[in-house]
Order: sequence, then structure tokens, then C-alpha cells
Amino acid sequence: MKLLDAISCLIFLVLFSLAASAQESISHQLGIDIPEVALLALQSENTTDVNLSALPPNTAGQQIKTNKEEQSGIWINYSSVVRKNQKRKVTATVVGEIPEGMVLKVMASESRGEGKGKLGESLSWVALRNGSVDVISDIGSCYTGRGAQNGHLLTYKIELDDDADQYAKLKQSETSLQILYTLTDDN
Amino acid sequence: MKRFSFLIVLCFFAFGIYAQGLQLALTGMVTFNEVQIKVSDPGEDIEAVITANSGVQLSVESQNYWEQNNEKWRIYVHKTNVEWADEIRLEVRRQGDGDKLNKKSGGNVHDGSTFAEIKDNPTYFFRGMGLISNIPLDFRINDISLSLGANNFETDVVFTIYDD
Repeated sequence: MKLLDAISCLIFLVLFSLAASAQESISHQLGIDIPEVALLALQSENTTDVNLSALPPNTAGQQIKTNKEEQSGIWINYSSVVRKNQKRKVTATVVGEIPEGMVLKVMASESRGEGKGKLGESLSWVALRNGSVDVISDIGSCYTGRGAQNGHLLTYKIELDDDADQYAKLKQSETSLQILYTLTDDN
Repeated sequence: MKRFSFLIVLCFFAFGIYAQGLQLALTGMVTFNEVQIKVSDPGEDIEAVITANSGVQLSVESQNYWEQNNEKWRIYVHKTNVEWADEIRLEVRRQGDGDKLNKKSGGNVHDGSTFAEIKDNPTYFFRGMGLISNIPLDFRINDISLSLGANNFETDVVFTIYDD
């Protein structure tokens, strides 16, 4: 009988200890969906107007001077989130008529400031036209930081068109243009 | 014969305790999406800390209402990643005390009212006594950035209750 008592107590203790350490789990899914983002802005410390002038030659017989670079003080800021293997670029389009015989060029600097991620790369000097031209390429998921001193600084210059016939088309004039920048998928 | 009867009763009693252990129930779900994850201005990153008013509610239940009213328990939490980035820190907190099932006794909860990180291994979340329903939970993500790219991250959040 004593053996039976011992066995019964042992069984009870084992089962009781099982009960004492009883546990149960439950779970639920938690999702984070990071959406695609494509936001672009131009930021300037002062004005977003840029004035470019052709200067008269110093000596008779020379052509007018045009290749002075003008740092605009305008910075391209962007935030971009792309899917895997997707890239974006910044394009520029001239709205208005560039004076005949002139070439308007822009260069975006490499990104500076507080940006992080896969920032875009400058394509150096590019000639602007009425159709879109690439200015910055290879943009991944990144942000440049906000405001002046962050992102890509724009520098403009005007050049004479190398074509001799174009020089003949130069006329004294004042022309106002708008440059439209777009952050777009690079397919 | 009496001894055998005693043994049988003991076994049923012990099995009964085990079978009638505390259980957890969850309602609601939480997803962080474009409603919460957004960029306020071009050039800026996503807000690094995002809190979701999840609507997730946790209940401590038992099939045997009468025997579990004074049972003390602890809840641990961990996550099992399906698709995750190490940079993202997921946190949870108890946003309220829930509803006592027995208004007269039991139904206390303690701890867990400040955000604590949910790790891959179980960590203590909060403790209590008795049966309580609809304990509201808030979830928060930290250190999320645009540089993670457009992606869908997913993890299973696992709550485990232990008899204390």
C-alpha cells in the first residue's frame, strides 16, 4: 500500500508541476508597407531667379563672351523610395524659346548636406531644350535633406552655338525662360 | 479500493488544472502603411518614430471562469520574422487595463504601460491576476528610413501567458 501511495503522490506532483508551468501562446501578423515615394522641390536661400548675360567683346573682331558660369543658389531637394532594382532620375525641360544662336546649359552638383541613401549622380553639363533632358541619374531610395545647402546645387551658363550660321541669328534681346525639373522613373 | 479511488481523483484533478489553464485571445490587427508612413516635405526622411493605434486587444481567458479568478500570470512577447530589416525596432505597450470579467475580485494588471522593444526572444511584457478582456495594445516602429526602399515587411508577434 505504501508503494501505491508513493506512486500516486508522484503522479500528482508531476501533473501538478505541469499545470503550474502551463503556458499558452497566441500570435498575430504585423505588417509594415513602405510605399513608393517621389517628391522633388527647388530650394533657394534668396530668389529662384537666375540672370545670365552675354558680355560684349573687349576687342573689335572678337565674339561676344558668354561662358561665365552662374551659380544659381538653387538646390534640388528630393525624397525617393523605389522598389528593388528600380531607379529614378531628374530631368529638366525649358519652357519658352531659347534665343537663337545660344545654348543654355545646366549642371547639378553632386549631392551635399544631410542626405542619406542611394543619392543621384550628376550628369555634369547638359544642354537644355524644350524636351526633357537628364540632369541627375541613378537615384535609388534616399533623401537629400531639406532646404538650401542640401541636395544638388544648380549652376547655369549660356554658350554660343558653335555652328557659324547660328551666330548670324544672334539678336539683342531679353528672354525669360522657365526651367521645369521632374523626378521620374528611369526605365 | 479507497486508495485507487483517491489516485483516480488526484489524476482527474491534476489533469483538470492543466486542461483548464489560462488562455489568450487576440482581436484586431495592425499594419503600418502609407497612411502612417509618409514624407512631409521633399528632401526629408520618413518620420523615424511611428505609432499605430492598432485596435489590437488582448484577453486573458479560461474555460473555467470560477477557478481562474485569482490566478496570477505573466505575459511575454516576442516576434517571429517573415520578412524584416534589422534596422526596424518594433515596440509594444499596454494602453489600458482592459475589462475585469469578475468585477468583485481579480482582474489586475501591472507593468507594460511604456513602450518596450519586441525582440526575437521572449521578453517580459506585463503581469496580472484573474480574467481580463480587451487589454488595448499600441505598437510603435522606430528607426524606419526611406533608405529601406519600398518594401513589405512582415512579422508574427507572439504573446505567451505563463501561470505565475
